[in-house]
This record gives sequence, C-alpha cells and structure tokens, in this order.
Amino acid sequence: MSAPSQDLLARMALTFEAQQFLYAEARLLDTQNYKAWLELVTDDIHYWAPVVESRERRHRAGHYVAAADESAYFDDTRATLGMRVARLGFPGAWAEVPPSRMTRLISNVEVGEQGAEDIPVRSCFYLFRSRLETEEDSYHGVREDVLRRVDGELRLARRKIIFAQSVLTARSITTFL
Amino acid sequence: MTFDVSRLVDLENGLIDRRIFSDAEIYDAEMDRIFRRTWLALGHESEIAETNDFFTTWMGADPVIVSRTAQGIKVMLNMCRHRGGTVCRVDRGNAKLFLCPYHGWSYNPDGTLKVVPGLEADYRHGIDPTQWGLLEAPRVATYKGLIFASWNPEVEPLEEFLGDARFYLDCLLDRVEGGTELVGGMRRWIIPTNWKHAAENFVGDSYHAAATHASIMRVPGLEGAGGRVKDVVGYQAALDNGHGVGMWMASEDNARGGYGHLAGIDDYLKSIQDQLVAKLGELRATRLTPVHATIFPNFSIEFPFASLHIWHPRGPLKTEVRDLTIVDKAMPAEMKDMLRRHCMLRQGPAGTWEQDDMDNWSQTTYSSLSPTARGLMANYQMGMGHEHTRDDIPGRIDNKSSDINQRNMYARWAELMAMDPPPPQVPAACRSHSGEISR
Repeated sequence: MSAPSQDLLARMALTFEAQQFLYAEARLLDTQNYKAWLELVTDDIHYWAPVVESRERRHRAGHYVAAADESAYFDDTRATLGMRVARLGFPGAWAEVPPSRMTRLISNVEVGEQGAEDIPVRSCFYLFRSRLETEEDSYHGVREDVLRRVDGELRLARRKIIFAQSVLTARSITTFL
Repeated sequence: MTFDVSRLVDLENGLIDRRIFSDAEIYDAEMDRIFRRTWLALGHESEIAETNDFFTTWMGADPVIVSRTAQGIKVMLNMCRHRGGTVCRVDRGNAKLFLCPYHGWSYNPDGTLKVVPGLEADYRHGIDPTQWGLLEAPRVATYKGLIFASWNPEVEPLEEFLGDARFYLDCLLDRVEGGTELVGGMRRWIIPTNWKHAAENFVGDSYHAAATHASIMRVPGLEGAGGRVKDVVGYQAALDNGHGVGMWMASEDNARGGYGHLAGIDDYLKSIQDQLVAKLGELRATRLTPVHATIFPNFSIEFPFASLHIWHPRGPLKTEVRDLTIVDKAMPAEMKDMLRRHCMLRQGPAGTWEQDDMDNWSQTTYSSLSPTARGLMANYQMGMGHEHTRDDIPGRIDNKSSDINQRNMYARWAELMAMDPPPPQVPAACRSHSGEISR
C-alpha cells in the first residue's frame, strides 16, 4: 500500500483544523460564551442569513436564497454582532430568561480550495434549543464559511447561513448559528 | 355556539376574558365572522409587477394565490375545485397556468379552468367548465401599493374601511413621488401565540416598551428611531373599524427636528421636505411621526422601522408572521439598504426588539389555557375615561401609554363576532349542503 500523498496529508490536516475550529466555536455558542465567540470573528466579518423561498425547479433548483440586497434574518457586521452580544448580556433580554439549553451538531465539514489567506469551509448544522419545561425549537441548514488565518490562528471572516426552512418553525433566534 | 360574546369582552369595565386567546371554537368563529367578512392585507403590488406574476399567502386560514393578470389583480383559493389539490405549491413566480398534480386539472392565471383531462372521453361533457374555475375572492383592491382582498362581496369600499387610518398610513405610503416598493423577500416564522396578542401589541401598546425592551435601552445602536427625538409628546388614536395608531408629535418650536440616531434619515427627509409638505401638509411633514399601527384584524405597521407585519392565524395557539420591509421607490439605494438593515437588526425572529415581544405573547397565550386563569379577566383599563378628540389629528385620542386602541380593537372584534358570518361565495352547482365553506 502506498503512503498517502503529501497533498492528501495537507488536506487532512487542514480539514481537521477547520473541524476543531467549528467544534470549539459550537461549544462557545452552546454555553453562551458569546464574548469569547466574538473573539473568533474577524473585524470585517459578514455574518449573513438570507431568507429562503420555495420556487419552481427552474428557479435555482427550486430553492431560492435571497440576494444581498434582499431580506435576511441576519446581515451583520462585527459592530452589529457586538450589539447583539451586549444586549443578550443584560437581564432584560427576556427571550433568554431563563437561558436556553442548546446543542449544536456540526457535520459534513468540507474544506474547499485554500486561497492566499482564506479557506472556504462548508458545513451542515443542527441546533436544538430547549427552554423552560418543554419549549423546544430546532434549526437546521447549511453554512458556507470563509475561515482566515490571522496571526497563525483560524478566524471566521464570512458566514452565510442557509436555513432549510422557508417558514422558520422556531419562535425566535436568540443565538448565533 | 356555546360562547356569549358580550360576556367575553366587557369594554365598559375594560375587561377581557382570556378564553378568546386559546379557545378553538372562538377561533373557528373568528375565521368565519372576521376573516371572511373584512378586508385583509395580502402584500404589495411591487411583488407582482409583471403579468402572470404571482405569490401565495393566506386569508385567515384560507391559502390563496395573488396573481397579476391582464385584467388586474386576482386573488383565488389555492385549491383545485375537483378534489382539493393544491394548484400552486411555491411561494412566488411567474406562471401561465396552475396545474393540480392529482388529476391534472389546470387553470389560467385568472383562475378560469383551462384543461380538464378527459373532458370529452371520460366526463363526456357532463360538467360545465365555466362553473369550476378557482374560487375567486369577490373583492380585491389596492391602497397606494398595498393589496387587500375580501371574501365578502358586500364589504365596504377599501378606502372607507381604512377610513381615518389613511391620514396616518399616507405618512409611509404617500410621502414622495413614485410611491413605495418592498425590499425583496420576507422574513417568515411561526410564533406560538394567538394572532390577537400580536395585533393588539401593535395597535396601541406603547406601555410594554419600557419593560419588554429594557435590554435595548442599554445598547447604543439598537434604538428604535421612534420619531423626531426632541420635545415630543406621544398619543394613541383609536380609529373606526378597530384600527389604531400610536405616534409622536414634536412641539411647534421643534418642527423639522431631527430623528437623531437613524443614520442618513435626516438628510433624506430634508431632501424630500418640499414634497412632504406638498403631499402631507405642514403637520405631518414636520411634526407628526406615526410609530406603530394595526389595521384590524391582522395587518400591522412599524413606521420608523419601515416594517409591515401580517399576522396569519394558524390555529388558536399559532401565528405565522410575514415581515416585509417597505421603502420609497425613489429613495437612494444606500438609504434603502440602511432601512433594510435597520429592520433586519430589530424585527424578525432574530430581531433584537421582536424576540422579546414574541416571548411575552407566547406566555400570555399559554396562560389562557389555565382553567383557573380563565376565570380571571385580563385588564385593559389604562386611560379609561380620558379619551378625547383634537382638531389637528383624527381619531379618539389618549396618551401614548393607554389601552384606548386595544379597547377599540376588541370592540370591533366583539361587534363582528356577534354578527352572522357572511354567506359563502360558492357557485350554486357545488354549494355544500351545510351552506358553509367547510373548515
């Protein structure tokens, strides 16, 4: 059996590194350590969750994802993410009083062709949110990220969240995907 | 009917029975008596700009198609007349026909029956195709871009239904040449709440802001752009047909005052100041800012957010929200984008404002399932005995914190709930024996 090529080993290492980044990020979000999570994003991050519609198959395979100038659940900069995080830290953020219990499953991680700085990473997410006694919400879909190496460490520079649901059955999104 | 409307809503004493927020029989009666009688907001003309453009939505619990035809806008029940298949399964598009996937009946964009497979060979011409088109809402009308429809052929003209609400709506819909358009797409989600909790919040509940939105007040950048910011007094206006508006009014000394933190809006308003005065008059152009409104039953507006909400009832304990962003067509692109982001950060399921509202409405809905709670009337007494009128603005007026508009909304609710439902608009050939559209 021939040894794995250097290319394959490099890709494995990068995929492992990206997976570990996404898992660590998910842990920070699950535990609502949002200030630490903010440290993982670049200053120029675009954090975006465009709305989704059902269309005929001839329109982009029947799954229409809104364009940049259309409606979105999130279309955030580092500044507005900071506002959201700051707000969640105050006692009057009632939709998180008491706090949710969350579990994120991140899977199907695929690392694309690495550019000079940026690493495109696609992953699937499933977030289960439980609150109070039996209040339950779930969210699932795909994330198209761009990770960037900053001072040797991976950081999140772009995130496009595409929910599978066109009408979200979750009552609210009080966290980040 | 096992409920007595006059006992559910006691407006003389400002009391409302919580049963109306969760009772299935009351909900069914609302769908018949309110949602099949009044005008209902469906969307905006800019969504169906071209011939054969369509979108699907709801009228109460009825799924409908809104279609642009050569003869104007048609609104049709999204149901094949043959066996009830869904003839349009997507949210929007442009279509030359609507095809039922079950047996292949197809319909033109105006709802007329196009093809019945086997009309000759199998039906042997035993049916009259002119009697089996999609069921059309008998009344469709627009008001300055907004599309409304009604199942009730006897419904009053739309302008009459909106009445004095037009005075306030025009501040958003008719402030500049060219009118309005929607930002593409919409936020949609399901809140576990009764639709009335959402409608009553927007109709007049300024009182909730200090507690519900306490967290907002702590974070610079998330403010609501509630209107002209200096030297203002707030009012509620209770209007005919259950509508209500809340507003800020600047003093005469502070006319043309700025909006403060909403970046760019001051410059934009200055740039259209002459048009504002010409179209709206001095008061509305320079001092008055409507903030929130509900057009009864289920259409709400957040004016400075440029946000339209339609609350589609999906059962007594569920509401599907459609959250649309509306902008002036003639606005500079960067101003449209600023408002789009402004709404995004505040409204919708992830909205920093709205998520705390929804959490409260869910609690108030579910508390009404408690048998003991149902024996305790909810309090809508704020401002009773303080209603008055003013010369400069229409409606019955009270302070910004008051239940005047909620009482007004529930008075209309009670009035319609005490009436017989309008007769079904069903072709004679296929009217059900019960005489009612089944539900």
